Amino acid sequence: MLDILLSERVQQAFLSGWGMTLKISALSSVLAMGIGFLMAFCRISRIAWLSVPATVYVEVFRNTPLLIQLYLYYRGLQSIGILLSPEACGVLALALYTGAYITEVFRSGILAVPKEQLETGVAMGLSRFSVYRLILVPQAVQIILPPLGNQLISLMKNSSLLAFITVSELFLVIYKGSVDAFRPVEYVAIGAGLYMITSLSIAAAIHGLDRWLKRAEPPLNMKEPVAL
Amino acid sequence: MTMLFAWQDIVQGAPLLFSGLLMTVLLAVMVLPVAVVLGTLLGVLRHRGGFLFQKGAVVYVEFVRSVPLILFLVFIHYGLLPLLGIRPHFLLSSVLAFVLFESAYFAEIVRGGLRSLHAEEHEAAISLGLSRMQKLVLVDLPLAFQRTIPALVNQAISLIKDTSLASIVGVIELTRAGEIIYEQTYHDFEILVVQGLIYFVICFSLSRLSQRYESRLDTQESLSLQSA
Repeated sequence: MLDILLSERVQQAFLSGWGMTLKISALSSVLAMGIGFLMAFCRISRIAWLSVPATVYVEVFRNTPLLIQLYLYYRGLQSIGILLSPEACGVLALALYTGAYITEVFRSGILAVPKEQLETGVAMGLSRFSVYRLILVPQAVQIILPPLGNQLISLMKNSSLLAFITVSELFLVIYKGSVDAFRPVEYVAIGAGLYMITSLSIAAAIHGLDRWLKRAEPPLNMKEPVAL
Repeated sequence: MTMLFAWQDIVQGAPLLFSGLLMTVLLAVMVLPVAVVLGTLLGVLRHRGGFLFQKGAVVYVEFVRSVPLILFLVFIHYGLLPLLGIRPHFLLSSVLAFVLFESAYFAEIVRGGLRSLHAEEHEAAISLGLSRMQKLVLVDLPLAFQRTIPALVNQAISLIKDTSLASIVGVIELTRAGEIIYEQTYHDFEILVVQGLIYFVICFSLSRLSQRYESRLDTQESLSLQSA
């Protein structure tokens, strides 16, 4: 049944499709995390012209389908005269869509650290930056990592929608093999396997990072008290 | 190219957009109850099934959650149904794919709700002399659902957004309906903005409703804690 894998042409197609999926996902992930980081701080900010646009961004991008956003960049912008390559549209759409979710992940991670701890830090005479670096970040990171990993896996799976705007990533290879080459079972089985490997690798990497961080940076209350 | 908003196309396309919207709603309404029931079953099995059922549910849920949704649509429409000798109908394929996919996510939510139950609630149910089945149906599940309503609503919103992918097997829902209009009028941008707005109104209202419910739930919980 998996004899199609013997064909070098099919191997090539799968490898280049998978490579494209990985490349696009990696680039969009970095961008999405950057957007999420900035927007999370805007959203918690007490300054209205920072928090209101950030809230609007999160609500608009989370409450419309990714496919519509993708079409808007690819076809919509084209129809009003702005040209972007399909790959660029795809990265842009994935980064902005997932960025909205990651904003919320970061925000809830930051808000989960009790405010009193930050106030204590300030009272102890730490600078604002030191309060963030020593008290906020080490604890927030541990809360953020698991849901962040889920978002990155979602992003990778969502990159399959880029096939709708002609990016030849993994799903387009599967779709062509299923519909044009009439081998749906084989192509889907191999493709699903590759998607699973990628998802599980991301999950494993996040899990490993989580454990490594917990070893390097034990919860603050278990640490030796800081000499004053 | 004019920058004037293409009102005329939107007015002329309104009936098609509306029938697309109906199809989107119809898909969501058909899928939601079945996916919730199947998801509950899987969630209960994963939470407390026999060894075999538990492992089976784990494998199913983890597999589904690491593979993109459109892979299911393509596999069922072009692979599974023809293989079973059933002539693939776009509605059957898409409902089947959505049910299988979303139920894995509902299963995780239900399992989370079941895990959040307190010891006192278990003891109260046991001291009333309820059997295991009665306890599950009359006590555990209602409490689990009550606590996870926000997550369940979020998943329903995801489902509504995901129905935009059904166009790949030929369903003319909201996303595809708009595509048909702008393929003729070339006013992609305007139509896509209108489509996005329609999705936004539906999804945003749902998320607002669940937020209101969530804050009511919070005050209830804190009140019951105070009186205890």
